[in-house]
Amino acid sequence: MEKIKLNAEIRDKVGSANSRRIRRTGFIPGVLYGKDEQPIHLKVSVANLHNIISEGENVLINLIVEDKEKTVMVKEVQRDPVQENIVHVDFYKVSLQEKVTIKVPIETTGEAKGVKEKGGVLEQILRELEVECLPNDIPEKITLDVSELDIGHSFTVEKLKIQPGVEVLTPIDSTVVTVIAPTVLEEEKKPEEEIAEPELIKKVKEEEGVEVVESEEVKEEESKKKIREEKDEKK
Amino acid sequence: MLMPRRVKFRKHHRGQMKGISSGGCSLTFGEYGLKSLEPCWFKAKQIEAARVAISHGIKKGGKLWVKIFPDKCVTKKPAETRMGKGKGAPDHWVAIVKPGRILFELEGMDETFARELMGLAASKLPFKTKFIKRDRSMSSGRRG
Repeated sequence: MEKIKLNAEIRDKVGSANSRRIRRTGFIPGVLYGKDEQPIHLKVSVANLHNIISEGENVLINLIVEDKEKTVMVKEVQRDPVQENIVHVDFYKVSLQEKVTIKVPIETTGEAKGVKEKGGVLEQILRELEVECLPNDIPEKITLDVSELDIGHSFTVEKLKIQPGVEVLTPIDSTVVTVIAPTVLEEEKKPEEEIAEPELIKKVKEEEGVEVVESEEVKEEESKKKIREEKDEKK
Repeated sequence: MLMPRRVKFRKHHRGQMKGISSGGCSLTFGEYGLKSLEPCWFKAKQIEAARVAISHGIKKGGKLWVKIFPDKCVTKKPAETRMGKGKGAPDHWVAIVKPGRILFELEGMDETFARELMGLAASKLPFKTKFIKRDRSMSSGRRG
């Protein structure tokens, strides 16, 4: 696996306000941590980070911090929910001799028989596979040929072709893809004249007793209301 | 129309719609989605209208997920009633939508067709939305 170089600068000031200032200057705040490693707060250039992430997140990065090279992986990317800009990034220091647990994307190839001939819908249920392997053996993606898949049939994790040296952690009976029958539009029902109110959840203690009490309370309230209205009318 | 089957209280406070959505901001089931850009009370009627608009167009094949549910009760006083005399009767149900919330998800079609369908749904909504697509480089969250 190729390693990509990325320059990072250490940031002394932490916290939300300082992070916001860093983002304004074209950098993204981040943190570097790992086994037997003290966390280091740092910042990386937005453009460089985008280039790396666009190649996929399971890439080994040579992070250069204060002229020292460290082999890291992207552990977490936080994004703004509305604008989808990267807000923060976590780097995880890896040892090339120790196995890591990582999620690898699953991609489907070909057009399923059930979709092509019978108009079914291909539904991908599992999009990422959790695997354990050495950092240099991490597969970029796992492909699955779905061209033989008919309506009602599905492929499980067992069907995936995994390269040697990679251990799958996801249960092997998990469904990856399935072809479902085309949806048939139901006849639209006429809207009900009166929308019924939802049922009220009663208290657990003595359900029946509570119901009776509540109904009496309601009656009392109604009678009080009527009396009030009559008084108002008289006024 | 969507509404809860059982509730603990008949009437709710109005509440606030401050800030941005903290959950339901990423695609979970489908390949394409419609994301809200503004806060709003999304009425059950409007959800139904958008759902019908998509499901009528989906005839060619595809699957739709509605990711929101109207669980907030809105009350209304009858016309020509003086103020006071307590809170009005339950009138309709709404889902509180904040910016960033995914409203609908689609799968089993190409991008242009999904965009077209989401456009139909968006035209039924009283707030701004944007079309989003599942992208490896765009995903957020922990990687293992």
